[in-house]
Amino acid sequence: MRFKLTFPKELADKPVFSEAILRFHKPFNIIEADVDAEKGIIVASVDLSESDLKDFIRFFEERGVRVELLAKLLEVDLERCISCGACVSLCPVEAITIAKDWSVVFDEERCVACGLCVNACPTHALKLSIR
Amino acid sequence: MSGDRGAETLRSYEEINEKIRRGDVVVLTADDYARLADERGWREASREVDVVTTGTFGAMCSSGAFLNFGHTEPPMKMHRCWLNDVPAYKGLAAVDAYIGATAMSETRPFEYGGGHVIEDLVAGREVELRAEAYGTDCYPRRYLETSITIYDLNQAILVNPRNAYQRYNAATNSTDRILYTYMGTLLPYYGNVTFSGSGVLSPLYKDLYLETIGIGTRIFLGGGIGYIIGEGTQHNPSIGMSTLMVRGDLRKMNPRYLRGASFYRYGTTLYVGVGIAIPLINENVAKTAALRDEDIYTDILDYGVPSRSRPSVRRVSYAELKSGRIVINDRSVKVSPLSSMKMAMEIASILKKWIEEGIFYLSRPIELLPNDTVFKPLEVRRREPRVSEVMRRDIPTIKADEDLRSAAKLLVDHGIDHLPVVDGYGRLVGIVTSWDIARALAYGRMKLEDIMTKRVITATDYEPIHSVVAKMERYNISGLPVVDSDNRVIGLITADDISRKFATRGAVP
Ligand code: SF4
Ligand code: SF4
Repeated sequence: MRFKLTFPKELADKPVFSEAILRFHKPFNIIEADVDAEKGIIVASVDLSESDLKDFIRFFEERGVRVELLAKLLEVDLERCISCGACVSLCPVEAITIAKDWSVVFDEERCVACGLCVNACPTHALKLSIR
Repeated sequence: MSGDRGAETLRSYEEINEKIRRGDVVVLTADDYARLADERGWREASREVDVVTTGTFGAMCSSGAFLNFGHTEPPMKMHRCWLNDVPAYKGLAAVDAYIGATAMSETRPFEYGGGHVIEDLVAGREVELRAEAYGTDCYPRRYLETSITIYDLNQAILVNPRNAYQRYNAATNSTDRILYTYMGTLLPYYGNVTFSGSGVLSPLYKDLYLETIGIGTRIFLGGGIGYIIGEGTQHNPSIGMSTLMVRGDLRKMNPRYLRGASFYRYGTTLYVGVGIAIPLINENVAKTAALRDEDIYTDILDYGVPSRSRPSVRRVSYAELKSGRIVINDRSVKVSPLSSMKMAMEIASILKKWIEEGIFYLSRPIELLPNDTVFKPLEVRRREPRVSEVMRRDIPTIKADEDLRSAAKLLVDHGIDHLPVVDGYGRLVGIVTSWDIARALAYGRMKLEDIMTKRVITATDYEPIHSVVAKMERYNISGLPVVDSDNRVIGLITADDISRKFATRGAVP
């Protein structure tokens, strides 16, 4: 599953994320990280069981970090998609690829919700459910 | 070859149609034929194969449909009319209209347009019709609001003035911002490449010299059967950019192969499925039908250059484009097709099936398309005012290591708001405005270098004023330094100067 953490600036110099890695003993895949004067944002994915998930959310919220679950960001309307491929070269994380038979294939799990493909799709076949 | 263009030396249309009737015609899709020819040589391949089918499914802006609504009671000479809020062309008789693919909805522009209306009609969906008239003795009605479906219409005929480009250029973007074009979204710094056309399946490329394609050629159009009615607009066979004008009955088409579409910040269009069956009538045709993606080249143009003659970044084959990545300036760049290869293959296969099943016979064109026309640009005859007529030349500049006080003094003494910052050779390195200085004073910064804007939007002296106005709007700025080809500052142009110059005319050109 994928999630987005928003750190207030007071936590900028605290190793909260590293603590979480030690605590949950799971590999985290950081998809996007962005820090500005106000806040830090990390979008990452990790494989967690239902019960761990609750602990995980509590762990961050107790420390003042906002957690948003980003389950299935990208919604594809396969009825509208014409497999043109206009979206493919825009995706920064290879969530959209072209198969051997020229079908356009979506790996919704990889999507980091940058939004580029959504606007570029000529048939409005793509939608982001969050953001 | 001009004398015997279209010669039926390998087989005639009659022979092919006879084989279709008998059920032993040999048809291959263009990619399969190219493969066969690659293995055994085109000469041998063309002995066995009678017909090669092609297909393309891409955005074709020059598309639209003639509609006839029938007469209301009392009758009306529609002067203006809209379908789902998209204006249709009404410079025709009372209840005839032409709905063009790029016309945009007045309530949902950029999202819904003529292409979508056509798709909705073909899909049998209801479409709102609104019309206005001035009323005449013979056509008294002045207003109409109703809904229609394609079954209510007397005629719904797709007539596309330009479809199925033989090949098209690919696109990339050298600038530092995202461009939204009819070639899709182009990422900055050559961030991606987009291309159109189906390469090995491209209908017009497979009959490169247009020996079998002409007026009266029966084709697959939008899922139904259509005809070529002539060369398309901008037909340019001399550089391999021929085009077609086609027509077909919308009521026999299928919305799978006619899809309304929109390109972000560009506008709406129609994806059209076109497939042509190419009879291998002579060796020229047999040879060009065998061209592979590796043999078909196009240019990658830089859409960052806002000119009709965009520079080519490099030449590239469709094989490279279809591989998904190509190299530009030593960097591997991702490639997007814009036309659907999957649908193109589907169309070529359907056409093959139609022929094999005896549903589709080949037609000898009544007249071949011209192979010598060229595509001329439009030279603007009315003189456009240029930057050189408005810019100020006697403007001060400053060096980056000077202090704020001297900058402020220069601005005040010359009564200007923009001060270009230059290096030792007079080349532009930044700009400061009076607002920058005010802000610097407020925050106690004293060095020019820290407060100047380094990425400066510039103008050239021969640039038309309307282009400068567009830049001012886009970047929300009020003044641009004018530079020469070495980036040396030669003047300044501001919104004030422009409005002063054109105030008497009432409008900025
Ligand atoms: S939103 Fe961005 S990351 Fe997600 S699929 Fe589209 S281009 Fe890829
Ligand atoms: S741009 Fe839209 S229609 Fe084209 S492949 Fe992507 S999702 Fe499908």
